[in-house]
Amino acid sequence: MKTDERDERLGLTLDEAVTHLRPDPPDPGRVMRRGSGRRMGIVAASVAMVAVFVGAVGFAAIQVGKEAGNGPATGSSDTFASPDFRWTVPVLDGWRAFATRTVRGPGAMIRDLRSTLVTDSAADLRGVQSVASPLPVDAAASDVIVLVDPFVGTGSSEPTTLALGVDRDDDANAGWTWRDGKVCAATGCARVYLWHGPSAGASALDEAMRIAEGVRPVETRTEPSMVVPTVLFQDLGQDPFSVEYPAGWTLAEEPLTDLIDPREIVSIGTFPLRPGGAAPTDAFLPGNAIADMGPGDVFLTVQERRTPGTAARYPGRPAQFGPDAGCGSDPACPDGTSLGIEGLRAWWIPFTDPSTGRAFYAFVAMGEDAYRDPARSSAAWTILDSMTFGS
Amino acid sequence: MVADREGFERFFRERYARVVRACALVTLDTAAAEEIAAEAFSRLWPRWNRMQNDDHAGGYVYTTAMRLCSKRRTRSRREVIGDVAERPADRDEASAALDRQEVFSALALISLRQRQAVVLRDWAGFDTDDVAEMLGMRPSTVRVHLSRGREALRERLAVKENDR
Repeated sequence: MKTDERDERLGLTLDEAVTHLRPDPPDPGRVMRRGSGRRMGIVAASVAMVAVFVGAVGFAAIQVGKEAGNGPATGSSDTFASPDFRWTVPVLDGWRAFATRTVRGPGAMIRDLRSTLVTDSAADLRGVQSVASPLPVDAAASDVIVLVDPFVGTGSSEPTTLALGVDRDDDANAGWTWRDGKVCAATGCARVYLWHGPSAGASALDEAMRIAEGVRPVETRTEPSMVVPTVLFQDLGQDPFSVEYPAGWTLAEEPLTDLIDPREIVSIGTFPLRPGGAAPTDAFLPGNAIADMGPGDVFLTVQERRTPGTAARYPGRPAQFGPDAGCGSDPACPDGTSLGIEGLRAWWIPFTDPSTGRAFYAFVAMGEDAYRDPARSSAAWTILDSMTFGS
Repeated sequence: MVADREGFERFFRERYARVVRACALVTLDTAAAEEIAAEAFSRLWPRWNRMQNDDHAGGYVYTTAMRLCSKRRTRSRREVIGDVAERPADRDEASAALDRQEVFSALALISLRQRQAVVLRDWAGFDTDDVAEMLGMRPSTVRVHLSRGREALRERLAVKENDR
């Protein structure tokens, strides 16, 4: 077959793969408004930058004029950044910060890592997807929420500062309002949402503004000194589950093994995770990931058994995961040497989740240094404890 | 070209679906593809006065869309397979879904640049010089990406092509 014909055939094959896509075009007026709005936004951002600069100079002049000994106007602040999307966000006293990463199931776009900050000390708002979506029932009318979302679009050669738009009514939550703005750097842009209930206090709103205005892209891959948050990963697909792991650890973006039953549902490690490789001792193990482990590394993978009747044979989920959780009467098991993987301590823990009846294997491996470091070794068990199954 | 609102609306309605499909082949994510296409057209509107004709505007939209695609994280193979294999309505549709799954899986295994080169050249029909301009690289580099991308795709899709 001639080269041109083969190229044409390839083009046709690609065409057949997308002919089923017949998207309804959005309203052209909206597209045009978005384009015009961006242009105005660029102008507004430039003006805002000048205004911020002038304001900062004025503020500095006032501060210099004050007597020594004046403390900060509000409580201390802290910052954090995610390794996936490099943003720093000030976390003020009385605020809680969550980092979440959510897969909303096949067919839905991936929501990348995002930060959620909230005044509420009791409500669990980690699952909040976006403004104008129904809030959890435990959200209070006095709550103020700041959402920081990576934004699809190119970065900006000149950093831009945040210019928040006007308040808009939240149709899904009576009395709630929100407004948003964008902040950019060369590495990308983030959209910042300021969202509050009908009884939100003025001071909380002021603090939210300070947080929103303090969102900063990190320009280089060098991470600043930070308080490491926990990342919540949710798979809301056919077989939902969620797991929390320390930011800076790696969540495998694709299965490390080709297993069908058991099916690998999540793998997390302290190092970059390479798929594939020959299993070292057990056909269910990801060979490359195990081979890449150093003495200070921790790795865990959770696999689900689909074979009917498995759940009945597996023990129930332990109240707390730990080195002796799946050991039964094997005396060498608690110290992690019974699997015989050279240079590593390792454990297989079968369990059945009581709420869903699903059966799993958890595999945990640690290098010798990690095993002796209580912070590292306990992190692996904490990750397993954080897992939830079902929607 | 008359630089007017109606002209833009006509162009948008005519070309939107095709740009979405190009983005879907590059990002392997249909939801993201729609978002990127809409974004690319929204960036065209402020420049609509300066477009000489539909081809000029088309080139701008594809260039912008490809840049936006580069910024977007490519979906992993697992996500791709999960997406295209979802809930076929009947047997024919099931077979078509499997074919799509094969193509998307094969695309997931080549680099973003190779995908962009193959999609723009072999699917969208731009010539190599245009593709080079859109992707901001030299024509010789595009040819290398094209050659490697085509070879890898043909290898993966060999069975499918031979079946025809």
